[in-house]
Amino acid sequence: MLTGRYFVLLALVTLGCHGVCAETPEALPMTKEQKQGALFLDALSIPSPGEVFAALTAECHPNWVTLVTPATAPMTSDRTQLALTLGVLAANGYIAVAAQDGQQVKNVGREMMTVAKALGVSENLMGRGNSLMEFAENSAWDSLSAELEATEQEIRTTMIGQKDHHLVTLSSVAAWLRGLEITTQIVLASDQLKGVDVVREPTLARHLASELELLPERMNKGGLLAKARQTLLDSAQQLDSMGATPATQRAALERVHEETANLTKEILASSDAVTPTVAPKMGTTTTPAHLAH
Amino acid sequence: MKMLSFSLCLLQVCGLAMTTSAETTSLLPLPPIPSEARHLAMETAKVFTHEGFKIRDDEWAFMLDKTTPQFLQLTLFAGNHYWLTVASPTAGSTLRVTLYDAQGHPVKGEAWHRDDAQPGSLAAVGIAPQLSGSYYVGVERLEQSPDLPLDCSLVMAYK
Repeated sequence: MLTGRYFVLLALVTLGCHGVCAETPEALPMTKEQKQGALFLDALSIPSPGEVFAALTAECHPNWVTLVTPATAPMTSDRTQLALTLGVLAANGYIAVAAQDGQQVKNVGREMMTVAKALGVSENLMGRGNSLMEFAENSAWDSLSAELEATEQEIRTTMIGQKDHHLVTLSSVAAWLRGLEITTQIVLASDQLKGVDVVREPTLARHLASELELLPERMNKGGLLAKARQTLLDSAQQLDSMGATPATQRAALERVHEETANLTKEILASSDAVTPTVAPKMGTTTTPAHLAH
Repeated sequence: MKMLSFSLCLLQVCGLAMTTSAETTSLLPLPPIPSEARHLAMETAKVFTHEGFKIRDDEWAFMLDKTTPQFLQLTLFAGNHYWLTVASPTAGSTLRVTLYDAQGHPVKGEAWHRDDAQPGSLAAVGIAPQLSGSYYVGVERLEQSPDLPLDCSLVMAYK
């Protein structure tokens, strides 16, 4: 009964799509109050790396195979660093999928298992593995991508259920920064800076920086939280003021790429290998030396 | 979050090598039961997958009263094409979904709606943005009844 009902619905929808398409009815501009009150929902308001990679693929057809970067999880017990690592590795996973590199997908997965165990979330990650393994081994990339998408709601609910909102935020930020590192690399590889309009999005970086500011100070123990926030703010500033000429745009993109790449390295560095630094306090804004003049 | 879920999926890829599905299935918590609104929205959005769109599995679930539109911030990318689909299981309501630019001005897109009222109410808008950046999606009711707030779900598809 239910199946039949939705079969009919699907048929009606299909007909409707092709038969009732029309121009958008006139709507009034949003009021100031409506803009201020608009919801920001991490689940939809933050795009996935896959989404921005799709846009770049359409715009400048990058060779994703050359962008696959092997990475290993750091030896650390810092939960902030581990959560950030999860985001970096996740972005790497998207790159591996875009490159259709099954072995790399599995390698990234192994590293993530290490991180997830350290974070204490691996026991909740069962379910869809058989099909994912099969899709990866059979190079069924569309199916793999769809299967990955389908688990989002389930995983987020699990994380929130464990009261690990902070980990989710950190992972999202790291994945976005790693995505920014890769996308700027792609644009910079083009003499004409093809795809620059895809990358030029400072607002989200600012918003993520503001979300990091809300995290408890104890999560900044190793200084990475403040550095991630600063990198987001610097990137937003560069993307906002990159100008219209190829020279200024290239210079801005190079700075964004350099900063995000440096942060990725720090995130993936084992604790004993990280050069000791004084952790900047959250809520303070510093200007990197190369941006100060 | 999407990236986190992706990472967790990848974990499963490797984790399977160490555990059998029979062992693990019994330990799994039951997935959340989707609302009727979400079910309708996802079923509707599936139409667009026939044209190569990928549906983000997340949703925006909200209650919509008859006088106050609801708004959500989005980041959209030039080069992508999007469809935003909203659904409510309540019959007889007319929904309108509108996309706005960062300044709050309506963006002309491809509108889609279904005129019949059964089994629920549906609307969608499509856009291929020229500029990457912040946008807003707004959902409102155009009819005057019923009085009760509607249970709504919005899902997004892109390619």
